[in-house]
Amino acid sequence: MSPRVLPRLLLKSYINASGDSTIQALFMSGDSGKVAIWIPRDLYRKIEEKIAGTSFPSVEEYVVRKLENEFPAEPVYSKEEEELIRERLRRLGYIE
Amino acid sequence: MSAPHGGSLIDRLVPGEDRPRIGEEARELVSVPVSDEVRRDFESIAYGIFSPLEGPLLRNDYASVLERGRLEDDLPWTFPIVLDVAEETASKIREGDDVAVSQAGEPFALLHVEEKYGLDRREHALKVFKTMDATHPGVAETLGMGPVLLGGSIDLFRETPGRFPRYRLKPKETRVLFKERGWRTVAGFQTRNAPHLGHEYVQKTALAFVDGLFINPLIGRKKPGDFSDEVIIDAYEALLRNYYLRDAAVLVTLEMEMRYAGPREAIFHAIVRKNFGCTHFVVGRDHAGVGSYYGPYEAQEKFDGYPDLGIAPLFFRSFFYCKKCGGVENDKVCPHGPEDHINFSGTRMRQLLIRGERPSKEMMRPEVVDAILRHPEPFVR
Repeated sequence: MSPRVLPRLLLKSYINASGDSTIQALFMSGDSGKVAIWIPRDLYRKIEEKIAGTSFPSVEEYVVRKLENEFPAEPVYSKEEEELIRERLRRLGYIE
Repeated sequence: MSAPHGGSLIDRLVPGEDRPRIGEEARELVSVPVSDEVRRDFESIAYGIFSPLEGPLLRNDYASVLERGRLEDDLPWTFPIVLDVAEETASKIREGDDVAVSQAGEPFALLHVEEKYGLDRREHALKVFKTMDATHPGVAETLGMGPVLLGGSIDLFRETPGRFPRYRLKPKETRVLFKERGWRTVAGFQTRNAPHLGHEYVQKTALAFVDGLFINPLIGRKKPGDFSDEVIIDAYEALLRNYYLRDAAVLVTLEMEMRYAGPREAIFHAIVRKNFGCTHFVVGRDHAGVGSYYGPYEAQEKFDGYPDLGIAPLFFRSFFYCKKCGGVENDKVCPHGPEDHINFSGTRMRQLLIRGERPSKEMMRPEVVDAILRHPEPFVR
């Protein structure tokens, strides 16, 4: 199922009424900078079991962490910081 | 270029303007004295070399690393970075406290102690080093550890210049360097040796597949008989000057001790190079091994369990000089028998060099031999 952006109330009612095999994984409204996705209910339960007793407070936090690992961001430097680094690399002879 | 392990490059370095104030405040806190090696690890954490770690491991992460070779969130991590303290020191510290991590009475970092937990030395040694043999250098060190571990995040406010400041770069610097050089793919090469022709063969073979080579010798405590740090640097300078294209390889030091944890350390070494920006990592025969505690290719096999590592291992088998082929070969490609092979025996080369004799040019470049023999004592005693 493709990712959706749904208001919180609509999501709640959808979940309550749904006998579907999927369940909400990321339960936040669109205006918080997050979107809802749907994962199989069995998978959700497995994650719940896996994180029981760990420091993960929720399935959502666990899933987000896994996805961040999968799609990491390149570090971003400010122009000033990058120029300082370049200057040091030049001084040390790594670049010209 | 590889993204940092865990998604972001950790920076736990206190900004320059805040350092004097924090340094003064730290003097009022409980002091935790540490060794040179722990201080280097703290610097590695602060610079992002150990990303995603922000400090010594918390209890659940520690248990997970020992048990599964992964952090609690499943991210690959095989070597436990911990801070051990004596019972007496631990008794002065409560969870939630800030403590001053110090050397010779001078604090250099704050540790925000989130957790305090016990160390089971036996379990630690068996899980990490796969032995309890006290002659294994890692086990010997474990047996000397304090009984309590402190976990939490750190803030480093006093840096050391490093043994070779000219060659010491942080991951944020190597990432700019790789970008400047236009290297999209970079092979990391871990070493604790002066290079012989076999090393050069491996490096240049790797270089045939990637844009750049990142030669990254470990600087720090090693076992007796290993090459000294100065010799390794001088030998690599000679090799790079004479036998490498200027824009194809860089030499950058890594201030970190060898742990001799074999397979676990191989994965750990790969993660560290990923944080520097490497996309590939060379794993040789008996990587990070010592004695006969690990199988010759056990470190390479360990990578099978880490398809999600985020850095591609490049496996190399044993190699030798073949008199019939007239060059460096390995057992996968050379059809000739052992009688035609000259092995790159580290022990034999060491014996020759200790006597002031020169290994043959089929073993080691003459310029490298010159660089080694300029040192009256090339090996760690």
